[in-house]
Amino acid sequence: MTAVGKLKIDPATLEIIDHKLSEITEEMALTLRRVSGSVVVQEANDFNLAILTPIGEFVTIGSFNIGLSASLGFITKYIVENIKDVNPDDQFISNDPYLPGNTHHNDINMIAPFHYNGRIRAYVTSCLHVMDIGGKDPGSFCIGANDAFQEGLRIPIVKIVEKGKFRDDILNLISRNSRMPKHLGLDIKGMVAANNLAKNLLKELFDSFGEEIILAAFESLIDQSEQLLRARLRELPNGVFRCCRFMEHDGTKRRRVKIMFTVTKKDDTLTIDFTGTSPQGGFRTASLVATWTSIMKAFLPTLCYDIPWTEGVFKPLKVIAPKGTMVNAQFPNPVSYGHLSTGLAITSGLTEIISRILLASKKYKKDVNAPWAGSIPLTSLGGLNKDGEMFGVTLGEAPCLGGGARTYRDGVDSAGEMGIIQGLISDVEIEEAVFPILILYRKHLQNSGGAGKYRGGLGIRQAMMPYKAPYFTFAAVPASRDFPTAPGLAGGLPANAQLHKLIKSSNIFQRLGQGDPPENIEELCGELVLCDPVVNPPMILSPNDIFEFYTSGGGGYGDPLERDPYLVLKDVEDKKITLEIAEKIYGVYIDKTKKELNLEKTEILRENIRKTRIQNSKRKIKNKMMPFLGKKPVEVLTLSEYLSIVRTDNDELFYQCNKCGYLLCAAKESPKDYMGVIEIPPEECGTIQVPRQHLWEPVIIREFICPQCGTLFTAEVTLSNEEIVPDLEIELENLFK
Amino acid sequence: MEYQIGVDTGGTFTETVLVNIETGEILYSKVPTTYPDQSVGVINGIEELSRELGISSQNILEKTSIFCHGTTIATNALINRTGSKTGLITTKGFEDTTLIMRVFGRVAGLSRDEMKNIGACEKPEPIVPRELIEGVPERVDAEGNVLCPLNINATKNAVERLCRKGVKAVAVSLLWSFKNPTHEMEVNKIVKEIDPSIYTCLSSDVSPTIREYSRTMTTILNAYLRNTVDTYLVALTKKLKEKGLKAPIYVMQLTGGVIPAGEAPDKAVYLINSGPTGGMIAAQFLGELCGYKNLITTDMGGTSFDVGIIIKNKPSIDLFPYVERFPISIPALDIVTIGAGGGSIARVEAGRIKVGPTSAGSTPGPACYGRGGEEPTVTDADIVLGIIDPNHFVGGKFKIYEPLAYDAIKNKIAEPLGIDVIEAAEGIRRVVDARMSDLIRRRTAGKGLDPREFNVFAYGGAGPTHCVNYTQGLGIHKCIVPYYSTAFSALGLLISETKRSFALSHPQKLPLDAERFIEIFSSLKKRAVEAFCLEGANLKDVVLSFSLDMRYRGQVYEINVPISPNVLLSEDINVEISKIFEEKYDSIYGKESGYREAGVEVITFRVEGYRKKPKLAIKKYPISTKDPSKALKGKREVRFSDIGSVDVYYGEKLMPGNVIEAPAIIDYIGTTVFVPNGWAEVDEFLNLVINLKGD
Repeated sequence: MTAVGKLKIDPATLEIIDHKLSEITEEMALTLRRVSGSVVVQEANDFNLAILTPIGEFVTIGSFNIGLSASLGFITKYIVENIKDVNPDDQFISNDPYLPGNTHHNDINMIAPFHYNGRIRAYVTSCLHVMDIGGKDPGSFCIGANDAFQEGLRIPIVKIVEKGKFRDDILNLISRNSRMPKHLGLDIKGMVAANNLAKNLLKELFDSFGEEIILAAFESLIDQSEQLLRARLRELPNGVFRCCRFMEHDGTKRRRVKIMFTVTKKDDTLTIDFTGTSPQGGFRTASLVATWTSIMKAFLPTLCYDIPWTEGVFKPLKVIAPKGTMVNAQFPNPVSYGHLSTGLAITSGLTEIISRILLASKKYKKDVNAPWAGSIPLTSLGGLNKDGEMFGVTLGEAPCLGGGARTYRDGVDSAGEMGIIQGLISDVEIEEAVFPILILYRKHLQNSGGAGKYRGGLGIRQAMMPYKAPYFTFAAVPASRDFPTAPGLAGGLPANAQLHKLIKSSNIFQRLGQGDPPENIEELCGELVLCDPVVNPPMILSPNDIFEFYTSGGGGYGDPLERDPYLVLKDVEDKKITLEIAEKIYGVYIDKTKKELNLEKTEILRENIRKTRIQNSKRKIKNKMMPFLGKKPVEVLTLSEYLSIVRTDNDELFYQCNKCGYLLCAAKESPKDYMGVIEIPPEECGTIQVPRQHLWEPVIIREFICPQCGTLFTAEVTLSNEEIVPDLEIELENLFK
Repeated sequence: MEYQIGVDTGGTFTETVLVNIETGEILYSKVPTTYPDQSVGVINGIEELSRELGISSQNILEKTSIFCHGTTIATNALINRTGSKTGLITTKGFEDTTLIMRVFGRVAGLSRDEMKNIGACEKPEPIVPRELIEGVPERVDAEGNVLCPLNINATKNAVERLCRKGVKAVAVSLLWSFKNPTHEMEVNKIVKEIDPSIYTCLSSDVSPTIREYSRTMTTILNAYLRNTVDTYLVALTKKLKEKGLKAPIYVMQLTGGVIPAGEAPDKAVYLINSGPTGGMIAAQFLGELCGYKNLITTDMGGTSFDVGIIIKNKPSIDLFPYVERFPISIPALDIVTIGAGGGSIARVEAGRIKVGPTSAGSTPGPACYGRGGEEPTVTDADIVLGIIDPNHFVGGKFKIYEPLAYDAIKNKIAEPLGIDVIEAAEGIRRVVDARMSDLIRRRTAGKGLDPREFNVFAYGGAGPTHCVNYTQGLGIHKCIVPYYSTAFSALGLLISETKRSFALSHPQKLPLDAERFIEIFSSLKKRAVEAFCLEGANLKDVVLSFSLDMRYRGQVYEINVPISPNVLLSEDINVEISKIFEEKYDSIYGKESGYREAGVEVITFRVEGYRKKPKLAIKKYPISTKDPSKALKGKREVRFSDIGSVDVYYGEKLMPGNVIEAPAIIDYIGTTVFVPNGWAEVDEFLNLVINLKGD
């Protein structure tokens, strides 16, 4: 029995009501897809739905794009607190990223109050990404925008349905500002229809169970989620966890952009603090809501996948996002690409930290994900087709990312984007039928998954060109090109870097005519251009110009030298990695001609790599501990497969390498200060990287190893002048017991 | 004497139906499905009937005019990955298409709860692993022009590599092959030259339709399953022939029609998931017979709950179906399944009762089976609640241990939640019923259909036990439990007609050249006619229907629009079909929902043919008295919803016209019907029609 307030709700009824609430979001989705008909809604599932309580707390969140949910909470709460004139059958529309908040201009929110017996008893809400909301660039990802006014129409909270009457005048005002007014109109009508349906279904629910039961169930659902999450947090160790993410530019200018994460896990609470993050600037800056959605994308699927997604799961959470930084854009800083650059970096960084916390628990180790990519390489195309009709599209293949490795298995190849639960990319034939393009290849990108005991999933590479298009524009919306954005976890190595490449005036048709299509566009004659990641104004392509993009793989998990050699052999056979990487990174010896595994030589190779690591370490064994003479110390907290805190006979706590038993330092110190450190360029970590020409300081992979046995504890992506971040401060008090 | 036999092999049981064509009488048997050789179970089912009739099986089979069979052989081979070692030859540069799985493969076929655990979601194990996928240099564009000729040497090398790796079958699927199949045909020739024993399957033959991922999967599955289906059907045919069968054997397809067994191996992919279609066809038939036009078919068995929709006597079709997490490009009967059945396991999670999708299956089965199962299931709850009579399970042939059911619920549900066992059992039943009800709602109201215009057919072992509860609250008036509910799928086999579908994609914005229109339809029609002639059908009995998959430009999914032959003769075909499309679009999605200004495009042309056969004449009984007391079995204490003591009837003794007031339980040999409220009436075909209480 869950006892909340006056009413007790039995466990079967609560389950039934929760299921029915989720079903309402499913039926809303069906309605939205039917009425909207747009590609982003039907194909990419780029929308989400939620039901909230009369005070604007989530009761259920749909399972489509998690990224489109936080705004629904922000706007509904704003309506509850500030808008008095809320009537039955009103619906509010809003997309303003600044007040009360939204991800970016393209995401349109629709909020409808639900009245029962004359009082507001819930809010039903929808949010979807529209294809164009104006601004300087088609698709409204406004490359190089200087301020919010270049990014399209901002709609404050406005009633688009007033007492049941749809305001065509307001719809006209909005759609007149879009390059695709009809589609925008259908999208908006779709949301209105979905909300209306939800209200009818809620009414049935209230009718059949009674108002009191449903309201009590709302409370119980929220309360139960909160209690479940708090109980889970209590099972995890207390401490402070840190990491950083970097970007080489903010979308307008090249500068050193840092996102700093300090996560404090204390008892049953989690505080996420971004203090130390670079100041705002450029369209890669995240609005506060984009930051929240990005947190949700990491937090819901890892800590809460089996806990109902209600307001309750956010109650143990505190977020500190300093105003005017990359994580909290202040008006009029542009934000149109914030959720997919700073935002994805937040999702990636937070996934890393949550995974590190979960790794310290035998029970939750299975839920660990090495980070997924922290940016995506979007491509916008436009122009005329062979019939002279206009077309414009942002390619849906960009979020075709590799999944982060797990503690028991490799990451999923071409898994999608972490927060888009039901992501989908189009068939090649559908794209070629609809747009004047020719796709030359779409395949997994070899050497893209971060190396590790378990490898990150692979990203993809795709090459394509204009085809029978009299006029064709191409814009590479910048991703982080100079950095691998999916680092590894617990000794795993980072994935590849993403990029756009272009070959101008190639000999492609000649090659095709000879029955010899290229494996790789670099085989072609023509001028190679690596697209500049800062500002790529849309350019016009000629019929023989070909471009290619790489998407990121997932980060690896665990020291690559611990990977089962047979899995490495299989990866070589399946062309997921090259023979060279098998030998150099995984230390696996495969006979080149016979493609056979040699286990003895593998052992020797691996031992040599470990020795070389120790030799290359900038820091040798420092303050070497006295050899331990007493009883074997007792493990009190396992932080990863390689690192734990142990207690000695005389009740002292130390960090220990689990592989060789070496005691690194006292537990009150930062263990990184006592590990061996190797700095290597990203090219050396086994995944495809891009030559960095314009950086102000080198990007490095900093590897932390056991100074005694050479085991790789952790590897981070950073800059050479960046100080070592103390990433781990475990609260020790409870460990003495 | 003339008989017709339908045998449906399910996961747990093999159901056999025998119809005496002269009397219209129907007999059925239910025997365990046999593994690994399912044909043993088929013969056992016939033997069982032969004992019941007192006629030798030889005698029965000799007098059988039609033998129809539904088999899970293809589905099982797919699930267990026991098909032939298959290679794939595709366009160079696109070798990973079936591994990328359009990204969606990671969550395709998973439940909402499973999807949310993003880190744990996996793509399904590919049918053709990467090492058996070969890309060959070639390229055809969207209009069918050859941009890159097929590189013959590279193709020979690729085929030789596959041969060395020991493939038994090769699927060939090249980009845009439905616009220009010459390269696929050349590849086929090369394979045959190198090793004629390899079975090849071309995507331009199996499914010349747009969308390379689902087309390639269709081709792969067909190649992969061909030998399994062939070996099984050849052996079965031999056995049945030896036992005297002279009639042709027909096999069920997922399209809802049958094909001659001899054709089935080359169309193996059509046999996947054909299991639930028989029941839907039987419901369509009975619905037509009894005057129910719009039906929701519900089949609740041991592990799953299948829901199909029949509108105006036509089963609804899914243009983009999935089989075992893979998409195929063959329109199938639109049947949606969730993991809710008698064997679904209940558990406590997050302080609540959850049921399914995991099932205890038949081994160990529900705790009450006494085969070592310790997890409480829906059947255990029904036993504890007194709804199922432990002494009457499968007509009393099957021993049930009530205390084991009680203990399982007590240990796993009641004690962890601190509630009593009856409350826990009641909770299990309510949760599973609500889940099924939510699915029915999503399939009707969620798709813009009004459930009040539908009646429900409930069959499968557990369907009749739960149907009143899962249909209530949806505004549905009647819930019909067919008399042959336990052998409903087998009965459907006998009703199904031979069905063949032909399709060709030709994406084109309207207006389309009228001659081109007629040309494509004529070529498809020609293929259809040829295929039926080959079967030996009289063309007078063959009904062909034409349709187009169409959409507004800029949209992603097509809808299927039936086109009457007259339209093809009309003066302006383009105007006519735009009109028909818009009407159809509005009827599905509501007025003003389409973006008309974008224009309309045709994507795929379809011709479907079926061979009419005489309608099965089911025996009609005269209406007798309303009083059901002759069938009264006794009283039973039901501990559900404060119902208390209820009348129990023998289902087999009820007569047409009998009226039963709720609360009541009707025990049939294969199932138990629970009528907690409303009233039920036996119709002239012995079906039990439950009139639901209005809300």
